[in-house]
Amino acid sequence: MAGGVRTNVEIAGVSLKNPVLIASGVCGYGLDFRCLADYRPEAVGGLVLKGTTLKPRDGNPPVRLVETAGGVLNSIGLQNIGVDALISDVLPQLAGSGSAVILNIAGHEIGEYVTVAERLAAAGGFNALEVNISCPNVAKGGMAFGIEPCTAAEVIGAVSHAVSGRFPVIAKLSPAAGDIAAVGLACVDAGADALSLINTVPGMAIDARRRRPVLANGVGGLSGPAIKPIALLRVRQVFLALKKARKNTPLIGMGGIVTAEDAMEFILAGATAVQIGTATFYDPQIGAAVAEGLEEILLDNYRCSGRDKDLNIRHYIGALEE
Amino acid sequence: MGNLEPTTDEQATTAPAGRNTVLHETGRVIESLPAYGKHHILRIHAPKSAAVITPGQFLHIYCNGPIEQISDRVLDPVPGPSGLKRLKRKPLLRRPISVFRRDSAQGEISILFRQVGLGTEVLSAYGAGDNVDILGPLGHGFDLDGDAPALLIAGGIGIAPLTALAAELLGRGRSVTVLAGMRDALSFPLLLDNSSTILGCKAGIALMCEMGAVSAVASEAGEPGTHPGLVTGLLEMFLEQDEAEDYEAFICGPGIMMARISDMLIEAGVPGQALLEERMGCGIGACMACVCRTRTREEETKYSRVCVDGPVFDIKEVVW
Repeated sequence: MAGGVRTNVEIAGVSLKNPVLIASGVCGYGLDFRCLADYRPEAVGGLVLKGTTLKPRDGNPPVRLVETAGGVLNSIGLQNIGVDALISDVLPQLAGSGSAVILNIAGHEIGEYVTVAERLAAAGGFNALEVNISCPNVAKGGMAFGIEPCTAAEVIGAVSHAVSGRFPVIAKLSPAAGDIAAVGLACVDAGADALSLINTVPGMAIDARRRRPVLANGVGGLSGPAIKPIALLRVRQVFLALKKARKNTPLIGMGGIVTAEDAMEFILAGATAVQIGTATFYDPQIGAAVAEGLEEILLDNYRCSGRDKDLNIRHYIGALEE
Repeated sequence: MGNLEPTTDEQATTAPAGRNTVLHETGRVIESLPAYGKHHILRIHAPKSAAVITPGQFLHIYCNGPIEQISDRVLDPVPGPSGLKRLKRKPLLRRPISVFRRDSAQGEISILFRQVGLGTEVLSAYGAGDNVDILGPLGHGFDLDGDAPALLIAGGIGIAPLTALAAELLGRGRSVTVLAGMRDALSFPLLLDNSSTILGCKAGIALMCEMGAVSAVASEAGEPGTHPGLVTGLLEMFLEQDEAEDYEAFICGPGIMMARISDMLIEAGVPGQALLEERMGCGIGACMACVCRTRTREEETKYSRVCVDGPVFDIKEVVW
């Protein structure tokens, strides 16, 4: 870390060496990236693993992904190995990987979320649990829970109870919620230790020549730079709502982050940490570049202002001047 | 298996079992050759990839750069049909592209592709001296352990990876027969005359024949010198020979063509491998986007990732 720059942050008791996390869905179970010759897992704050359900899931038929203007539309459908394989085959391999491991869980009913959370909390070997109440790609993939404050609170309350303080619980919010601030507050009241936002934006791509949707599932989730302004607004809305309610629950912002400047925008809007998803597709090491870029931004600001606090990322969280 | 637990450092730098190390390389375009119709060939100096890539493996190419260098050619506003300015955008994702030829001694790779969308359109605008951002080699290539005579069956642009395969097989002393199908002469970057060239670069069938392969070509438009119809018609004739089942088949083409060809081969008792294509995200197995349906040993089916479980699959494994 150069010249007294501090980019380490804390999310609900979990120390991150820098605020950059790799988002759920783009890094699998954290093992595929190891094929890269110059992979540096320790260069990012942590990984959020693929959304995992109680039983293994097959996922949706292909076509599952298509590039759109400034973004990517996907409908993977939560293909995953199931919680038992995650515990027995994956978690032991991630021990000591040098950065935080956050698990992402999904379900189609509250009981499934609870069982998955219970098994994981009993097994250990990770740092936090992100609860996906916002997957747009499965009929009952959680988004239904994340649209309304009361159902979101029910899931988060049940998971928090199951985990009973052994691990921080992060609620992942959907931009499709009518009032995302209300959903966020309800999750915090129900026991969420942190909120992450936003999940993908429901969308559609059409092949005009064939007169069919491009994705086999018809509907998908939009990610990438195209959704960044939407995500920034949602983060700001939730941050201000929490502040008004005198809650200091940390936010993890995401949606179209490609550069360190993008990450800083989310931090200024109110995020304590950020996640990078789609950009890893073209640069699997982009997390490290963004983390290093944040340090440079802090150093530049310090050089201009001469103020020591400009060297610490924590002084930027929510510091947007409106 | 009985080994000591790897340390953290080793874990971080070791590819998962059965997977090669993936390199990030900046290649340099040596030559950019427009071919027939919308086909294009790029010769790229990429010594790291050229040294290790095997036929059937692919490169994940970031078609976004060098924007400054190609912007005049592709990304500037161009007049649209209504006279309005139409601004082309930059591709976001990498594009998986197989290798057409490689020369490891010279550190060179050639790719042959058809312009089908934004990525390949930008790629065709690269010129000599431009940098190419390459991730690879990716995927499992063809299994080359057999010694049976090889039957290569190509549909359209599927000829590209099979050309690299033909070179490798002929180099190993295996006999190679090529059956190729195309819509019409302009839809296919091949030359029926062995001596012809496309702007100095021999392509497809012509190249394979020069290397010593035997070929037959089908065209839907019934071009002179071709078998009128589909490549399945050529295969039907081929399979009438008694010794057909001594061959091993290697196929690459549109899904519907590979489905039909696989059925015919399986029915005739000819073993085969198929090179599949699917829209990709990461290319390294993490995002689960590029799946195809495959059979397990227990005859159940599941989604396999084309990028890492393939792109080459046994034809008996694929559920078309």
